[in-house]
Amino acid sequence: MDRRKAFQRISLLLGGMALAPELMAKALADSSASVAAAPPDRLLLLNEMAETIIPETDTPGAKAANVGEFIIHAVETCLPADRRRAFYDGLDRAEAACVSKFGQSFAVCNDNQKTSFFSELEKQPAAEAGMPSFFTALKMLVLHGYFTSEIGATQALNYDPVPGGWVADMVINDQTKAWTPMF
Amino acid sequence: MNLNIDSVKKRTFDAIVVGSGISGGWAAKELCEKGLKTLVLERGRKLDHISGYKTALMAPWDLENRNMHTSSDKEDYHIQSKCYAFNDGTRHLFVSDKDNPYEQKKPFDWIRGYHVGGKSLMWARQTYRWSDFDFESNAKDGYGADWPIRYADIAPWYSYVERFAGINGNKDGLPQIPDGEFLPAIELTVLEKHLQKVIRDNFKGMNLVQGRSANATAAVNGRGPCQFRNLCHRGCPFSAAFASQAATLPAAAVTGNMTLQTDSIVHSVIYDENKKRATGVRVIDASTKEMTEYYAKVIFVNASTVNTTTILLNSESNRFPDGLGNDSGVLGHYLMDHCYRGRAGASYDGFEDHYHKGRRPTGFYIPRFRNILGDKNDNFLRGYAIGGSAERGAAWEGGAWQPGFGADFKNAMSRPGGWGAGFHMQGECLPRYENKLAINKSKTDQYGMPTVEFDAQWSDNETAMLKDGKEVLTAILEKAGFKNIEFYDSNEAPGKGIHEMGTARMGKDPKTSMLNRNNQLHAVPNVFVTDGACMASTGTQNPSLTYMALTARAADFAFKALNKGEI
Repeated sequence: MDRRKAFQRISLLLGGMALAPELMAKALADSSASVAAAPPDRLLLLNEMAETIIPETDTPGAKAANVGEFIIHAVETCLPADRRRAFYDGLDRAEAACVSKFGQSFAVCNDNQKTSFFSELEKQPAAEAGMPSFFTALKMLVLHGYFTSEIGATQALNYDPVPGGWVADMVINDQTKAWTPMF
Repeated sequence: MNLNIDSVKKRTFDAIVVGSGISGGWAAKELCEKGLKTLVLERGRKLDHISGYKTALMAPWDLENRNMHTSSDKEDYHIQSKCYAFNDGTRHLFVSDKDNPYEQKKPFDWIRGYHVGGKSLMWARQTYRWSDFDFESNAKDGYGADWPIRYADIAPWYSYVERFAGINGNKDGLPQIPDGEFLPAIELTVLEKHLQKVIRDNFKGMNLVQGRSANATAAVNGRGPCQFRNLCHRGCPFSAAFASQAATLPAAAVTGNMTLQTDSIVHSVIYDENKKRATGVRVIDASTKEMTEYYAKVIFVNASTVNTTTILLNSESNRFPDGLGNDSGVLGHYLMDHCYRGRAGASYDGFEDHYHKGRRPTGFYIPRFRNILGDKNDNFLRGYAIGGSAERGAAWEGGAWQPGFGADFKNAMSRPGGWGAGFHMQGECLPRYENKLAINKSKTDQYGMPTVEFDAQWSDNETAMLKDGKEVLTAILEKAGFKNIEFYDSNEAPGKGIHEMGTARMGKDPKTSMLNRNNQLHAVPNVFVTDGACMASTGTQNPSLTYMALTARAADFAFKALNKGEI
C-alpha cells in the first residue's frame, strides 16, 4: 500500500494519474491536439541524459536499457497534452542552454560537461508552481524507466517474481539490493 | 408446436443464478451440489481460470505502459481508473466507462467488471466476520431497519464458507471481529509489530492485527498455496486467491448440474400473478440484443448491488408496478458504501538493517474501537476500522526528490527505501432513505437496459469520524516515533470503496424492507437476493465474507423450502 501511494504521488506530479477535475477537463479538451512526431535526435538526447543520471557501473546503465524510448512512450501515451508540452519545452530549453554554454548538444558533450550542466540544471526551480521542475520530471521518468526495464529490474535490483513465501523479517547490510516492485 | 415445447424444455432449469461474482459463484456451488440443475447467467464475457489471466505472469517490462495510466484511460475509464486495482495489468478486467454510462445526480464512482467471476477477480480479499455489534446497530440507534438475523444465525455459515474459501488470519479473540476457521497467518513486519505493541500498551480498546484475507496460505481444496507475488488482481495462476472461477464455479461445474452462460444480460424477472411466484428471467443476448426467456423454480439474483436492484426495479408487472417485490417502496433506497476518505501516511527512521522478503497479499487491520466495549464518542454514531501496512519500498520510487545523479545516486537508488506506513479509515455509513439509486427508462444503454441514476452522498456522521481518525492516528504515530505524519481527506465520492450495499435490504417488516431473514423477497418467496443489495447496514468490516455466508445459508433454506413444496 505504501508503494501504491508512492507511485500515485509520482503520477500525480507528472500529471499521469490522479488529475484534479479542472486539469482533467483541460487535458481532455487538449487530447485531440496533434502532437509533432518526436524529432529523431530526441531519443539519442534522452538516452544520454538518462545515462548521466543512471550510468553504467557494475551493472548496465540507462542507455543500455533504452530508457529514452520508454520516456518518449510515457510522455506521448501517459501524459495529458499540457504536461507533455511542458516536458518537451523543458527538454528544448535545457538543450538550448547546453548549446549556448558548450557550443554543442548535450548528447555529444563529454562527461565533465554533462555533469557540470546537470549540476546547474538541478538547481533551477520549476517553471510552474506546484509542478515538478523539468529535471525532477526527467529523473522520475528515468528512474521509473530504468528500474522497470529488464536490465534495471533484474540486474540493479533483486528480481523475485515468484517468492514462494513471506519472510516478515530479514537482516540486511548496506549492499543489499531492493526487491523489484511488481505493482 | 413440438419444437416450441422442446425449446421451452431446454430453457427450463431447477434454479437460475443471475451473476457469477462472489455471491453468484457461491449460489451456483451450493445449488448445484444439492442436485439442482442450475443456469448461471453472466452478463460479461467468458474468462477462464488461469488460461484467461493474460497478464498474470507478466514482468514489469512486459506491461505496455510499465504500469502507468494512459491519457486514454481518462476518457475510456474515467471512473474505473480511480480504483486502486486498476493498472496496466488489470485494465482489461474493468468495464469501459464510455460504453457503460450512468447518471450521477451526485458523484458516485461505480466500479465494475463484466466477465465471469465479476469483481471476485479484482477484489482486495479482506475477510472479517461481522459481530452482533453490527447486526444490532440499526436497532440500537434507530438508523435503518433492524437486521432480521443475529451473529448466532450466521456463525456456522461463516465457518462453512471459510473452510472452503481459505481465509488466513490469527485467532485474535476480539469480539468485534469473531475468530473463524483460519489458514496460517501472515506475519507482521517488524515495524508493524512495533506499532502493534505501542497501540496495545497505550491505546485502550484498540488492537492491531494481521489483515485476514482470502488467500490460501496453505493448500485448501486443491488450491494454493499462495506464492506471495501479490499480483492477485490479475488473476491467480496458483489458485490461491479466492475468485469464483478458481473456487466456487469449478465446484459447481464438477457436479454436472451447472450451465454457465455468458454474454447474457438479465433484463427482468418474470412474475406469474396466478402462481404468485417468479417463473424465470428475460435475458438479452449481449451480441445479438435478442431477448430470450429462461425458466426455473427458484431464482437467485446476485448481479452485484446496483445491477441486482436495477433488475428488480425493471421487473414490472400489474402486481408490482414499482419493481418486483417492492411493496414497501424501499427498493433502490438506503444505498451505502464504506467511507474511506480518511488516509494517513508517515515515515519511520530505524530498523535500517531489517527488511522483508516476498509480497504479502494483505496488511494489518485495526478493528472498530469506537462506541463499543465501553468506549463512548459523542461526536458520531458507530465507528470505523483502520487498515494499512508498514513496509519498506525501493529507494528509487521516491528518488526523483532526492538530490543527485550519477554512479553514487544509482547505487543509492538500488537499495531498499526507508520504512513507511500507510493507513486508511473504513467508516461505517449510516443507512439513509435519501441515499438512493433509480433507473431511467427514457435513457437506455446499448442493450436497451435503463440507465442507473445515483443520488447519494456522505452524511455528517461519516465526516465527523474523519476528525476523530486524524486525532487517533496522529497520537498513535507520534507515540510510536513516526515522522512526516500526514493525514488527509481523500474526499472521494461514495462508490469508490466498492462496498456498495443496500437498496434491497433485509428486514423483519415487509412494510420497510425487501427481504426476509432468509434473503427471500417478502412478497415473492422463490426469489432470493444475497449480494450487497441485501445489506441493512454496512458494519465496518469488508462485506464479501458475509455475502458468502448469507448466500450459502439462503441456498440451504431455498433447497429445503423447495423440497417441502413451500416455494
